[in-house]
Amino acid sequence: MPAIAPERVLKDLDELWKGLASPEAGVSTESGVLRACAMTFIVALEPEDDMQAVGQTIAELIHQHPSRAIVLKPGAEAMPLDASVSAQCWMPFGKRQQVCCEQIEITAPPADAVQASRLILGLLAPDLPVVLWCRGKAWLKSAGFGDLLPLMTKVIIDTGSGCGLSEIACLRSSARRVADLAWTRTTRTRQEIARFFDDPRNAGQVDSVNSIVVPSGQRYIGAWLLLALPGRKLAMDGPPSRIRLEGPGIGFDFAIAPNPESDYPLLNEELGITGPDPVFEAVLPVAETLA
Amino acid sequence: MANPFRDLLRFERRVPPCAIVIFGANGDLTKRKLLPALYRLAYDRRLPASWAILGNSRTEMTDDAFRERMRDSVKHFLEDTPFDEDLWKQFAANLFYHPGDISDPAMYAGLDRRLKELGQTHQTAGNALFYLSTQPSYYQPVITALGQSGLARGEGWRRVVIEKPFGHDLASARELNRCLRGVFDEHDVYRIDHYLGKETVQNILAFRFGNGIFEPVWNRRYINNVQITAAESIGVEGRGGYYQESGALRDMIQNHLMQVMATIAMEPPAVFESETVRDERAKLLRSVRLMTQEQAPMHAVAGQYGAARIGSDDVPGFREEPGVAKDSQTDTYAAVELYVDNWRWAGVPFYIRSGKRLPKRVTDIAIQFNSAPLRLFNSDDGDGSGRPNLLIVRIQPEEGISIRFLSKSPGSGMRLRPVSMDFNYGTSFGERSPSAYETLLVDVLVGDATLYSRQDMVEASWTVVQPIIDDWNARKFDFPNYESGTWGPAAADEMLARNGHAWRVP
Repeated sequence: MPAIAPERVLKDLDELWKGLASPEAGVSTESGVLRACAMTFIVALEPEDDMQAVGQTIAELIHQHPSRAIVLKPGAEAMPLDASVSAQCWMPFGKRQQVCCEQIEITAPPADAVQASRLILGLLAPDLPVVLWCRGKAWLKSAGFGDLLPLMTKVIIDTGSGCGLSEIACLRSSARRVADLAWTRTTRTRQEIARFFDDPRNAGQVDSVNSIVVPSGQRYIGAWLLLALPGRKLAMDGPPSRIRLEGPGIGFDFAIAPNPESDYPLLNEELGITGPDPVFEAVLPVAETLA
Repeated sequence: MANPFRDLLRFERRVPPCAIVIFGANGDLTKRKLLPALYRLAYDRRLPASWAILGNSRTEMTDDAFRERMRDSVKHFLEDTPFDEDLWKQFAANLFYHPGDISDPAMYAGLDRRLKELGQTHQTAGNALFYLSTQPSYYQPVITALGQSGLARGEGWRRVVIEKPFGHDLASARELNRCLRGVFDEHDVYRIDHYLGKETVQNILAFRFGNGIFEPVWNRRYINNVQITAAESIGVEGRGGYYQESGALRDMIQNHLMQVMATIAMEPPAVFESETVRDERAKLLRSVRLMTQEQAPMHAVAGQYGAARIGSDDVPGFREEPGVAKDSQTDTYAAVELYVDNWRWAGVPFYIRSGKRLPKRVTDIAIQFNSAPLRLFNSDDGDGSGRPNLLIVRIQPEEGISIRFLSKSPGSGMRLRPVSMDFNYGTSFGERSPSAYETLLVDVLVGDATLYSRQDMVEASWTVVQPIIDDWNARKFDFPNYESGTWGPAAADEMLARNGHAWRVP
């Protein structure tokens, strides 16, 4: 498979920016165009992914997290590696300058990710965080892709769809940080529980809780509650969408927040955290024992 | 006991149920800043489910009339957020109004009744914030009345926010503080200085103490001088009568710019918590060398703008502005030279200036470093002086940080030219930062005073400027002494020239 050199793509990016700045492109305003980049955001797509929906998510995310986005699309076997550049631009409300982020689309067969990985290596925005969002297992299994992982500031997967705990275990040995959107989905529920116990009248009863009941499959919530309330009994056979904390003479019920309609709020939360996540790191080994 | 369920990284700080009572609700600050900020917090879903705003002023109006006025204001003054009619309807359902004179005890009795009603209908849990959006002369009467009526104590927390100016000199600042302390505990008093709520000012601490490379050079060995500029291109814009009572020294330097100076010069706190940060700011302000009234003429310059033609417009001088006395001695420009007597800063001048009708609107801090000890190269502009390195923190209009350094000009030979390395907020942080008022309102509602001034900080900064005030009150200036559209009076340039320094042109 003929390789594409990173220099060619970087040259294409230069041409792209020159073009954006020219009045003929219809993008630049009197105030010019602002090239925004705070990280490299790599999105590794699955064959069955809805490109438009994922593109929409990326377009929304870069407003808060301006990035050089590298979208890795799985191509057919034996198809040549292909790369193209584009820009996403928007005018923030009330401002007069277009803000633009660059996007590089790379199409390659997942079975042979070596060339794609080498290309990506040369396209990382220097000295800035690199976040990889793996939407499934297709790329993680492929030879050569693993070379990228140690360079990632963070790898985001979703054990709620596509990946399993084994992928997390594997990633933790090679990537600096791993995030799981299944954990991110628990934030709203956990926040409500925490806020409930911010009230001193409720906080005073925490010690009396001796049993935790969560629905089957809610291992992250179960693990988190076990860490917050060590020594309690955990049952993972509760009614769907409900959490119950019980003790002598007390009982607290919480609803599990419904999942958001898109991945945007989850990714938005994860992209805002590029450093250590001590709560997740403590919960993960406990959750692994509950699976 | 710490909440075992907290996840500080992911959970938003929660604003508790509360009522916000705004005195002066029909005034400019409420319309331009407070309500738009609160609306924006509602837009971002930062307000709790149980909240209410109760506006007060002398003007008789119903709740609905108040809501209509606030709708117009929010729509007009909302800067970077679309106005959502549906959101407004939900938001406005929490707005109420209670007319009355702040000098009338019956008004406070009525306020108490309405707060109790709101506690029932809106579950505000007895928490109340009293926001004094009035003229400063009303602060003490309102605070005293809050105490006498029992409103300063309730089922939940009771806090008070007052805007600057905190007094008009040291004595009145102390008097105001005594009045406050007679009614509220210090930790329930929030003195707002909205500059401290600006993202770029907060970022100074992140920049200094979050990175390893700057603190080692952040001292007298490497820094030659610091210049803090807050310039406006507009005049008093019809508020001459109000501005006459304050002037640039009181309006900007005594509060905002001295707080900025404290942020630039303070020592790192041991932990980043409200009281430790404020302790360091206060310590820095107490370390500023006090001048005597006799020394003030050498270290402070007053100015007042005169008429000029700017572009195609003839702009009036300050004394020709409506509401301004023909012989006004008010400073529309002030520049001061301060020194911090501590090991870190001994001998480094801090030049602070602020003025109206200057060439452009800009607020920034320029830290000028010492020149290289040996000039090996010729500078490109041939003046032979060599340009010192500058670190510039831009607060407005384009927030960011720049470093100016010398680079070789392309071509043969070794000629150097200054270049700039820039960080812009927009480039790295996407769409929007919260406004200072959004940040500060959330902070006071969650009880975080880190970005608010404390009594000792206020009194320390008044102590520094009091000799200047005393000197200026005793003198009669030959005003105006700078033309509108210029960078201020020549005396300000002379003040720096005595040290071999010059104001940079921002």
